[in-house]
Amino acid sequence: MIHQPILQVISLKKHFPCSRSFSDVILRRPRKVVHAVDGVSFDLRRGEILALVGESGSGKTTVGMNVLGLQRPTEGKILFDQHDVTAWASGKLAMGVKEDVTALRRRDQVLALRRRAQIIFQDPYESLNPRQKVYETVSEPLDIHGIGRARDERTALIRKALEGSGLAPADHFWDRYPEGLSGGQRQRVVIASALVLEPELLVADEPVSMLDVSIRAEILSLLNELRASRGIAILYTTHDLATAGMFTDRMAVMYLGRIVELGPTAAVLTSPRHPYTQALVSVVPAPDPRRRREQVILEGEVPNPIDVPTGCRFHPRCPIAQDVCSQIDPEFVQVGEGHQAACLFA
Amino acid sequence: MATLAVRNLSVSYVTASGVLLNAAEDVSFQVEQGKSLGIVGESGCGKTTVMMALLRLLPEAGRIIRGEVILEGEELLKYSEADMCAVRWAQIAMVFQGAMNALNPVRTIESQIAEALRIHGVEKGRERERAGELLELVGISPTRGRQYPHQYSGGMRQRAVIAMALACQPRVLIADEPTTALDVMIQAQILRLLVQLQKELNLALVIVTHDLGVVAEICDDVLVMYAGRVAEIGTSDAIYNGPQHPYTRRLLQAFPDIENPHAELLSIPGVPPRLDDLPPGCRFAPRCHSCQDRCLRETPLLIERSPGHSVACHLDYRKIG
Amino acid sequence: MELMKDIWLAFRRRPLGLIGAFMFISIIMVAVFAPWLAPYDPDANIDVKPEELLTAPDADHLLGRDDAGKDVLSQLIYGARVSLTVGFVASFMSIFIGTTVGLVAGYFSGRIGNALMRLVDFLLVIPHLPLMLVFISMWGRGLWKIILVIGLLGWTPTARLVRSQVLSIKERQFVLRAKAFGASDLRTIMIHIFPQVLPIILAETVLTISGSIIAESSLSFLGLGDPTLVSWGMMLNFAFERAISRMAWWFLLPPGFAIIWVSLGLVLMGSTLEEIVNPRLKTHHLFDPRRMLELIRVVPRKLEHLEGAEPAAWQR
Repeated sequence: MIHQPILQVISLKKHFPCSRSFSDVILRRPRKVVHAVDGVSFDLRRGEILALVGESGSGKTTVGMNVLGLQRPTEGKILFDQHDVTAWASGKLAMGVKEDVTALRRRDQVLALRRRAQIIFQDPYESLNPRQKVYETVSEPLDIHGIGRARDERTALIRKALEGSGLAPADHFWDRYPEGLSGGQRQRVVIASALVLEPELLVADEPVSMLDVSIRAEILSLLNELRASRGIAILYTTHDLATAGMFTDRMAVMYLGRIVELGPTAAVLTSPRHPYTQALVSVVPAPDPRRRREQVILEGEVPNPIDVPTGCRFHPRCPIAQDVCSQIDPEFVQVGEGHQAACLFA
Repeated sequence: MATLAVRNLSVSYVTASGVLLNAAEDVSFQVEQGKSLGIVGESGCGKTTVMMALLRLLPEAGRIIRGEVILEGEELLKYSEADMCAVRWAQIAMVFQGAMNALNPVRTIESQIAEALRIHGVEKGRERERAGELLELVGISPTRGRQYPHQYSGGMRQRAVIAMALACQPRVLIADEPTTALDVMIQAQILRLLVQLQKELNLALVIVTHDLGVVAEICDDVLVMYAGRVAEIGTSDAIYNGPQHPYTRRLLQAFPDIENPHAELLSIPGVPPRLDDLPPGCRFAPRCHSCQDRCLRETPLLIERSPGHSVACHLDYRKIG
Repeated sequence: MELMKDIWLAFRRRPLGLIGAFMFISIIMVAVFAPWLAPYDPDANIDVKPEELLTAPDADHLLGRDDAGKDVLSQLIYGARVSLTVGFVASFMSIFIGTTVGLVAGYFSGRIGNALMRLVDFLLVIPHLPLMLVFISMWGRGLWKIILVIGLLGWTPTARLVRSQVLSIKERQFVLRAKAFGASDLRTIMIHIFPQVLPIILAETVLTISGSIIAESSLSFLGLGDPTLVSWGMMLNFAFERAISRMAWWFLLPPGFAIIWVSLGLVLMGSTLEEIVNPRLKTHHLFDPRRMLELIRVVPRKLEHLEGAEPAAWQR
């Protein structure tokens, strides 16, 4: 029996229109777009953790938002357990999908998706409603989905979620407001509220980048443990290659809206084949001053996603770029077991 | 002779009710021309407070309780405010945390650098030229000086702020979290720039950060702070390859290493103490897994365990291993 | 509620706000205890001799008598009731309408939002007082009519304020998270957005009450108030029409003073509240001076005697 992936992203594109000045309108200049995501494809299997790595402007957060149906793709498809996420998220399931989901009313369709896939954001100081106590925050998804109407059942579910996120004893945190909690604790509350619905997919958008270094490990091992105990698939977006290396199975490196390299995490980190990945890996700070490695420091910055370079989008900054690179947009090339890179010279 | 030496500096804040909160206590370190010191610690450990105290830029509620700040033989804490104005920027300059976001949005970069120059007595007419030189020094084309901050990317703004700090050719440059909000590639660029500037201008560089990796990259010496006190101080090599203080050891274990993916990451349970609730003995004791009775009662003093390497801990790890 | 506690703590430390509160509450007390405070009943019919009309203040009538022989002080005291009633009811109406419109326009910021804001602009452009005059003239006079007119026209500033707040609040991460859970629009607005706007509405309400009281006074002064009730505006109206030629300052000044007193009190309270609830700029948490300073309520005080002092010894 073929084990289908829980998530399939197929040629996803998300473009945001730029605002136009008056003269642009008068002179009929074509409308420019921000190519936030410009053709991304990958699969995520059940219980797998995939790292989506990239600098700012690479599109990784946008991918996460689209995967969850919080934004609508400009082009391409996202399938969650064979269902078209866009249709599901708006309550208009595509005709021809044989599943009892179609029999549900529009609102219920939306809820059906929202129950199975959740998201954790980057800023623990902004992710919680300052006027809600901890138990209210965790209780909200249950309210929305009508789960656990009986008070005992509900209390038990909340408790389980809180303790599953490491906030034990749950009573100690029950009535507290976010302002009394540390960054790490807040993030755990966020995770608890995501867990309480027992989702199958979790999008973690830079969940630890705003936490102190000494707390990051805890949160990341919590995510790892959730995968192990509950089989949740996790899409972990980050700009920090090192943390991605810690607990993820596969890694996708993004640059300017595209994936440039995809493969098992260990392979991508120890033998990167795309020049961008190689540069990134070489500049990640190492906690050992003796280790002096050859750093490939790229000049300049990631270009504006409005004006994407022709041919290979990395060629203006690529240390090994040739003439042909400005003309051809490279396809993926297999460079190892399950390991691909989009470069002519991989 | 050390360019900048700080000895037993203690800084406190006064609360509305008159209680003194110790933000930093008994901090000592020194930096020499052409060398760099990294001050590492989690948020709230007092590292920024110490830097502000050096420059006498503490907020109203801040008080320097005791200590010495010696710049090339001169005791700065005895200086009047007027004298300090001459020291700031001309001798010791600082790139503040988040400065790249605090640039005046309605003035060109060039004019903002020029302003710093004017205040410190550069002749009229030469400012523009000098501003251009400074921009070039940090890797920005001088013609871009006429642009506004919003036209610069994050990395460029950070460079511009560094240029401003170097306007008066200081001896000491303090950079507070210079790379925190930046992408890893830009971070590498900025760090490389700092190293380059340090060599070219023979600066004494102080980097204040919570990021161990940054300090490992470019600092010769490292000072680890915890809850307002110095935990450990030594050369970069000694600290990273032979840490003695339990906090330093745990901190290093919490730091992911890209060359050892899947190595176990440990974090430190608990949170740093609040300033109004400091433990009586060693401040790290409540979270320390090697904590003993003595640690709870007696504050450990900074003791030199090997040349250039001092630790504030009752336990001697050289014996334990 | 936590919110109230926080606001109260901040309020306590601002003398101007406390003064304003005192001024306002004193008027409320006067209105509530009117029957006990007023020496005479202003509605009672009295027999007056001609020389008792428009008499200057004396021992029996502390503020003198008006042109009908009635005690000015009593009218002033009872007038507080009318002014405050109109002030409260009309402003609550304005706030309610304004908040609702603001929430909807801000949350559904597309076509609906735009349409609503155009309506708001339209109403803002029309001068309020003449419009109120037109309504009252068409409709007739009466307490409820005044309240309605003031309430139905005074909601636009609130709507604008609320809308701009909602626009920024709805982008915050916890709102996005609620949507990711599948929260309905109603839930998102009521549980996530509204509580964040509440403090600002609170400050705005106080200022609106002041505006309503002045609006009522203006209408009454122009002769469009409820003829059966004596409000401060009405007193001014009578004073201007009948007493000014006789220089009867005791009839003219007190109601004016009363209006100023209550408005000033409300404005002081309102601006203090505004200052307190102003959403502060967010700083990156790793440089959060609040972490250190949240333990410190910074009060500028000279404490030189503490220089060189030993740090406080901590007893455990």
